[in-house]
Amino acid sequence: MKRSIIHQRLVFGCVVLLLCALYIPRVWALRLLYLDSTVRMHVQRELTEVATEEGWLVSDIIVRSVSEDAVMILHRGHIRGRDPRACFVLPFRSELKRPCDV
Amino acid sequence: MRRLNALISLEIYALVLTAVQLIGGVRTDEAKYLLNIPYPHPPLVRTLLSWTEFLPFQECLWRFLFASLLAQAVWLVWDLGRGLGRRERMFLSACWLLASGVLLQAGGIYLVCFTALQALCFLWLVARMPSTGKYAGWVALLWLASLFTAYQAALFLPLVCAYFLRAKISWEERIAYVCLPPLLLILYSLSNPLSIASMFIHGGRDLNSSIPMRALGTLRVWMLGGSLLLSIAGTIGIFWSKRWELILSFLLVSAYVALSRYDYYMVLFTPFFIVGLAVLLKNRALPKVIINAGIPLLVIATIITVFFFPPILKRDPSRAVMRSIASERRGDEVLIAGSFGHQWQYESTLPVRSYSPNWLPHARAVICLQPCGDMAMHEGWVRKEESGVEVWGRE
Repeated sequence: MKRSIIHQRLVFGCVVLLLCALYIPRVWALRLLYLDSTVRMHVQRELTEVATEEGWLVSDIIVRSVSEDAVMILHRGHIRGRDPRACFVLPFRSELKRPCDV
Repeated sequence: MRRLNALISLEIYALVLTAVQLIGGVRTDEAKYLLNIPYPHPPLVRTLLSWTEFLPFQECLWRFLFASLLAQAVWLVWDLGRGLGRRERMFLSACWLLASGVLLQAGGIYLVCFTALQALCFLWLVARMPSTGKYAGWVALLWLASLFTAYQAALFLPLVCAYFLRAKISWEERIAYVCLPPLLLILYSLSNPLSIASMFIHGGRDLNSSIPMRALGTLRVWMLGGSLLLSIAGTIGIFWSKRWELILSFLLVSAYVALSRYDYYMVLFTPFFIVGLAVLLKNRALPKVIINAGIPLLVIATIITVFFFPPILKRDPSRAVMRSIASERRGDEVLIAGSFGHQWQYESTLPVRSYSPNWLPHARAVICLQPCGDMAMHEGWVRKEESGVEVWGRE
């Protein structure tokens, strides 16, 4: 029984560490979105504008990282089969979006 | 042999419920999970669903699996009735299978069905598992998996706390097992700001509803969870039990439904009603005449409930429209004018955009869910109608 309990603790611990390793870097890349209301406002505006211009659904847009002057997004058009993907950097002070690596 | 016959009968029952749900086609919420659209729920189950996207029978497969899981969950219900006579256990099990919550939701590809099964698991664990702590780690993983299936699993925190408080484990383990999974869920949510935004949007839905309207809506979902009769008996049993974890979790589910009031949440109530009914049966609070007449009464109540709140039997036009477009050759996108649900994305093999004349050169077809008056001005496009929907294709 003791071995089984140790085994359970190990598995639980490994899963927790794996999820932390997966999500902490992503949250770190988005920290300004939560800490800075001005950046948050810019991101919201950029997402709404790009969704309207491109005819995208907001649910197909993933925010990858946020800096003080730009937001990096991944657009993934959810369809049956292979989803088309495109990455863009949207500067806050410019209308031009730049492609980036998916 | 008897057990095998029961297993097969349950699968036939699941097959029938699957067939009923297939009539209506894929709904927008179901499409969200089948396509692994990253809101509003965490990724565990929707990722599993999306791994089968390449299968042409993906919808059928998952409807049948979901229906089978809900049907086969009756074995947990049977075990919840341990200590009762055979007749009472049969009655309890029949209540699970015939409750409108299960009948109307089995075969639907909604994460709430998984969450209801997880609720039943936690209720069974609290009622039946010995308090040795031998399986505490696995229960913690179930708790983590539940939270990463759907946010609603947070409503079962009282049940989880009750299990770990009784388990003979250290306080450090208790705190880790109870608290780490919700903290990880918060971490996931912060990594996906859209899920947080959608919570605010859905939370703001119907903010102007009056309290009587909310109460009526909640009552409707409560009634649908147990065909009214099971709802009444189950609720009485829940409060009769005086078990704080059961009452608290039930109240949290009720409060959640009062805020959200989608009909598909009905199945969240059903496991609680079953446990409440089991409490009444174990305390011999139900007269024998009710137990004897219980199944026929429940059947009548369910028939009446389903008559007034039937499943969706009218097929959405998205599949027919997208299939008619698939045979066209030119263009690599589909444009849709007007507000559209995710089932249009699901039925399409081409990327979908909101309509704008700028995208016409790339479009294979334009679907007008609201009038596209200016399409007639563009050369090379001809208007068709498919399943009552205005569609423009190339000449």
